[in-house]
Amino acid sequence: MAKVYQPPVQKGFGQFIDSMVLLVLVYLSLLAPLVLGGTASEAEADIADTAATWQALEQNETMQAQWEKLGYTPETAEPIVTKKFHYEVEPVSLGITVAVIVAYFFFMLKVSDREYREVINERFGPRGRTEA
Amino acid sequence: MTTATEAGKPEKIALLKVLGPVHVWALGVGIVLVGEYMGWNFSVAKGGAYGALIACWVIGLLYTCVAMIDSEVTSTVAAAGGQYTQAKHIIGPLMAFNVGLYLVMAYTMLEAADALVVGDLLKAVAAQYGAELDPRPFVVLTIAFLAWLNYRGVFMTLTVNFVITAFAVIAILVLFFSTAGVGGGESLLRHSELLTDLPYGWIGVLASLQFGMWYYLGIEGTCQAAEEVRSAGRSIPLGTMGGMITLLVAASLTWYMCTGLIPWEYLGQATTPLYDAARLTGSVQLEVTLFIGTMFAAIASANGCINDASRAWFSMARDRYMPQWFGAVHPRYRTPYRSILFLIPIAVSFAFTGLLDQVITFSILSGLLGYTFMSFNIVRFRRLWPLGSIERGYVHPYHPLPAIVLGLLCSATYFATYLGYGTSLLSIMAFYILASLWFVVRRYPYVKRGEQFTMPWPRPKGY
Amino acid sequence: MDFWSVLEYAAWGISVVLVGWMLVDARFVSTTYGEDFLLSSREGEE
Repeated sequence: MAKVYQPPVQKGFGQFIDSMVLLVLVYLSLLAPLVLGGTASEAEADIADTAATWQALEQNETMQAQWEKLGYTPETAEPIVTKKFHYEVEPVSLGITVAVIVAYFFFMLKVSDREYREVINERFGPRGRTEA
Repeated sequence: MTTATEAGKPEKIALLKVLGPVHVWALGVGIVLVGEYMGWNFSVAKGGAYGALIACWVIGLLYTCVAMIDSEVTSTVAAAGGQYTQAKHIIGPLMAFNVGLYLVMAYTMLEAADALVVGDLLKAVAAQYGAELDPRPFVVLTIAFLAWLNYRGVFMTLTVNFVITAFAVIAILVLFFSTAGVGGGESLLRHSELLTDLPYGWIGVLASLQFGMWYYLGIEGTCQAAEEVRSAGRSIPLGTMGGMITLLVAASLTWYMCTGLIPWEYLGQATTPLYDAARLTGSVQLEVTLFIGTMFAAIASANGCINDASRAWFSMARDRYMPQWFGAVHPRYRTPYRSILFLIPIAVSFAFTGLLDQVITFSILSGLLGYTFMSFNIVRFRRLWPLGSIERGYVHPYHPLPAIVLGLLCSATYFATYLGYGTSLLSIMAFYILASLWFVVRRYPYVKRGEQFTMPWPRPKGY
Repeated sequence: MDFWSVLEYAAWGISVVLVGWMLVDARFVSTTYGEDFLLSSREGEE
């Protein structure tokens, strides 16, 4: 059997701190897009004002009837109908995103593999011996 | 039974094995079905009605791959940690830590969103009576009550989930039969007049894949029950595949009814699309049925999320990936009670941030990272332990085709998230990168090495 | 006080009772049983 790694015992306070560190990280990443100014609305672009009639909003009679049953008038429906996404593929930001995701998985697999060898060597003995 | 006969006796304690395939189905479908009642329709906003249908089926294919792969690995690696336990046996500790976090984050954030839906629905009811209702106490009550249910035992928790999930599924079927004119009577659906061309072309279809995940997000949570089912190798593949079929049917019906009743621009931003569809039929009975259905679906989902998130957190603590204090089992109810308690304030705080958009994107993306993991996990699983070298409960066909399809579809969905939610995507990746560094430097020294490998398998090939 | 505000207070009240019950029970368990016993669950063991 390989030498068994004995981890230190963590005190209650340290355990508490470690739980909190992770929580703080989560909240930071939830807030980051707000601070950086790019939430989902970044992709939405308004279309120029038109007169608010069902015709101008390109709603046929059936659509119009359903809107009215839902309690809408052309005026209240207009912001919903004219709110459109605006898809733009920027090479730079797309490149950064791809690089981050690929680097993340690459780093993780690399480190995991190193740690995995420690686990396997301790569990099954050093490589070359076949005890289980 | 391994309870302590007298207080403090150094005996062993374990989670209770009491669940059957029905509970597994209730856990899987229960978590997901809320996605049919709300959320999936944001894919209509991103790509139009037809775009949402294409997303529904393409993502359905992604999840079929997930269910196939997951059934094979889970029927072999049956433990409460689910994918976390798979990762630590097959890929390694850092990956396992990340997968555990994906699970806890995806489920806790989904739970927060579910509780918000319950609060908003009650607020809407009060508004119909002309009253102003503060939804916050009901959000807290939902989380507190379900946590209490989870605390008191898994059997009752998932039995309740079965009943309310079944009701929510039946409500969708009832709405379908009364609107589509299948059981006699005239069809109320007006597809020919309501459906339009793709508003953004094919890039919109691609973009809608992101919210297409709502139709199925969380079905893989079934394997978190592995340590509590009576026969994991049989119940989990059965419950998962049964759940997947239920969801494919429910998702297609939901799309069909909603797009036949609601103009797509409204549908794309609706909070409760199925309930709105019921309102448009003009039938009070249908309206009430779908209201209760929406409510039950949200509660069932939050309930399943508490179950899964606490199992994942508990498993990580048991191996000391997380503070070991959370690895305790309740001596009487046999639940991971400390993990359940700890996650209550966290879920409540997510619900109260007012960042619902962000919270939902975080949840979806954590799920997606988990599926990406599954695609290379299965390839490695087959390589380290070829067929025949260990006993597998289930072997999925056509390997490695599902893994390749899964990997490609995941890449497409990352791109879909980039379209419109690029900043959120990067900040969430930053979280997982920082957490990984923190784990390597700070937490890994506390992790026992050989002891975490608990499967009775031979040495992996090549190690 | 109308019906809806009674409902709000009731929801707060029940939430506090449920969470309080769990906290008291968790405390009771910690003082009654040894920590080693509570943490003795192991993966893959019956």
